[in-house]
Amino acid sequence: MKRRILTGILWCSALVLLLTTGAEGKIGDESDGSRAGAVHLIGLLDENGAAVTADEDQAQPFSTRQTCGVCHTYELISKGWHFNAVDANVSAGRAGEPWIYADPGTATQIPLSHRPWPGTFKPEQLGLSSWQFVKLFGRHTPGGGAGELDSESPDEIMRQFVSGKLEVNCLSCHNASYGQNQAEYASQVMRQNHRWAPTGACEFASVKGAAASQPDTYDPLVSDAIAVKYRPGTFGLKNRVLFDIVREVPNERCYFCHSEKIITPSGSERWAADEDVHIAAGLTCIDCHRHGLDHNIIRGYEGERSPSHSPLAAVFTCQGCHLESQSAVPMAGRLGAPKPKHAGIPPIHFEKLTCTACHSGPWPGGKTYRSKTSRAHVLGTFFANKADDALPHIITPVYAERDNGKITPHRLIWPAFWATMKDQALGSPIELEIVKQTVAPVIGESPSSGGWPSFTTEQIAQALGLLADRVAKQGKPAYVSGGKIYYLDDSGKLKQQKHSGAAPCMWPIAHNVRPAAQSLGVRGCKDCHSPEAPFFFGRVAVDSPVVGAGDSGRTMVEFQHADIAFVKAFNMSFMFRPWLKAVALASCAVIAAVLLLYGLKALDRIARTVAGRD
Amino acid sequence: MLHVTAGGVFAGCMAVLALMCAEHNRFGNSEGPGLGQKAVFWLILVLALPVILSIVLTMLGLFGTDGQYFLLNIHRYSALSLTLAAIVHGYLTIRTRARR
Repeated sequence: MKRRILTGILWCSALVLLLTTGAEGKIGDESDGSRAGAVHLIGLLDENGAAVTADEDQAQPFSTRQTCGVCHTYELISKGWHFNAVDANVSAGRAGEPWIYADPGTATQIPLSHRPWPGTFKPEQLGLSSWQFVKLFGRHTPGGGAGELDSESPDEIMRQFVSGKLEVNCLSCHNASYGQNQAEYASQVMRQNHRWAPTGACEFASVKGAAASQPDTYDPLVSDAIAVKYRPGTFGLKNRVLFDIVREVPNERCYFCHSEKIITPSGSERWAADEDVHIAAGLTCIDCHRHGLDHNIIRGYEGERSPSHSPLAAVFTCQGCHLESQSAVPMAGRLGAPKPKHAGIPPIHFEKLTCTACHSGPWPGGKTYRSKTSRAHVLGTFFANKADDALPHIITPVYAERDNGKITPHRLIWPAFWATMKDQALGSPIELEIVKQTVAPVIGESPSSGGWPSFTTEQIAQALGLLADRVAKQGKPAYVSGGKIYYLDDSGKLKQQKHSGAAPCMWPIAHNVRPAAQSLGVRGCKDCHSPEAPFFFGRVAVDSPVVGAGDSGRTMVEFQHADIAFVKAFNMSFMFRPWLKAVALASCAVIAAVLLLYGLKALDRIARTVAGRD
Repeated sequence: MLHVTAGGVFAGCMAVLALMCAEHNRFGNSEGPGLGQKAVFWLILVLALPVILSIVLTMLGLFGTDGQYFLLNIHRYSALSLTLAAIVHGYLTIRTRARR
């Protein structure tokens, strides 16, 4: 009996030990509290875990999963926000900038996202596999995500074998060396050198050759068609390499994927525009956009706590630093954040507007501007198209109501794509390959600026006619552009109409934050409350390649779910506000004078009564 | 918007009311309404000041958010009190006329 009990206890203990194996983090997962950075003098490991040494005939690229994974739990890190878009179980949170597939040759610009953000389409809906997605957009990712998914197509499986996995590239963010070259990383990814990309981008190695040019039978261990060369002196004692790794990511690392260029009538030169006021004040991106080992970065918007479950999400918002937050311990004023007085601003503004409505983005003009972003326009790479007219056409700022009922500045894109429709309902986009084969010959040559081709309604009708047979099973073909759909009726005539399925895709913006002296309202109520104020009556351009589409644009107030007549009347009433103040103050003066006069009379009467004189 | 427009009219009317009816409602005046009505009249005038002044001050750019909320509360509660006083005044007036 005793032996049975002892055996049972032993088995239970073994089971517990087995289940908890690996539950303890690795040495680099948790800080011991020292603010002095750890020196990363470490050995390099390739994707198979073999050491990369200086004396190899055929140097192999190092793997971040293996090399960094020795001390940091890669499996946990790779579930962070920058890598988890492909995980359907992750809450999407507030809409962010989608990936935009733009092709002038097919008159297409369509927002894509693995996250279910409103107005976006899943890459699969366009027939894009994860492999193809990485080919198109992996250039401006830090690796991981779709780059580590296994394809299901036999052809792509072979290519993945040649290219390797696009692992999370820790160096994309954490390498402080000025030699970290993200443009080279983008170039490596475009060449399908997934296995080699982190190595090629770092400061002590270069990679020659392209996996895209290699046959399916290419073996990186045998062939040197893709060659890695480590800089002499890279490997020190015991074949260790010194990395300049930092916990606090430098701004330039973030800027590679998160830069923006606003194209205004006065120009778009970088030197003419100011940086975000927080950066100018000495803060860094990661002062606000923090995360722990899980790499679930705080995005910093109101209400983030709910989707992200981060206990600090509410603290790292505008209100969290600049105003009193909901936390048990006072947290306002951190990082030198001044407390705004907001003198003269009725509190209703803070219920109807986000902080960014007054403080972020370009100062609104009579018309919206075009914007180019890193991820949409391939900025910072060797192959960026610098023309202002290059697709996709992103429009900003658009003051629109968000799902929480507050008005926020947005960037906006008018989707243009080929889709199917049935009974006036818009279906899925047509697969890109079908569109390329059918529509591109109709459109012909695209402009060298990378902008819209000259696209007539006759060409649309011709393209729709050609597509009809190819998509007959899914429905009728239609072209979506500029808020309208174009389709052929039963008699073959081209029809066009506004359609909810052609609505623009919008995402809120928060940067660049302007200084307080440049916030809306600094010159008084008329910054927004006047008959011509851009905040309500600015023209939002409607972007379409269709010649003669003839849309003069939308009024900003249409995006705010407000009655335009009421807003006009309300704004006009502000012309009389000075009169209102004068009348009110004069009335107060009269009432006060009457009260004073009769009050003094009453006092006189009381005094006489008390004194016995009547 | 109607509230703001009516507010300006209300302020002007209160000033005119004060000028026209103050003598009639003087406590030393044996003619005129009863004591209760006179007292409520003066209460209305006293409450009209914070009602009007509190909202005009919010428009002048002198007060920050905390001050704006404070003035809004003053406006809210003094307007409520003024409304109650006006109801009482109306009741007393109707009762006096009914007795006559």
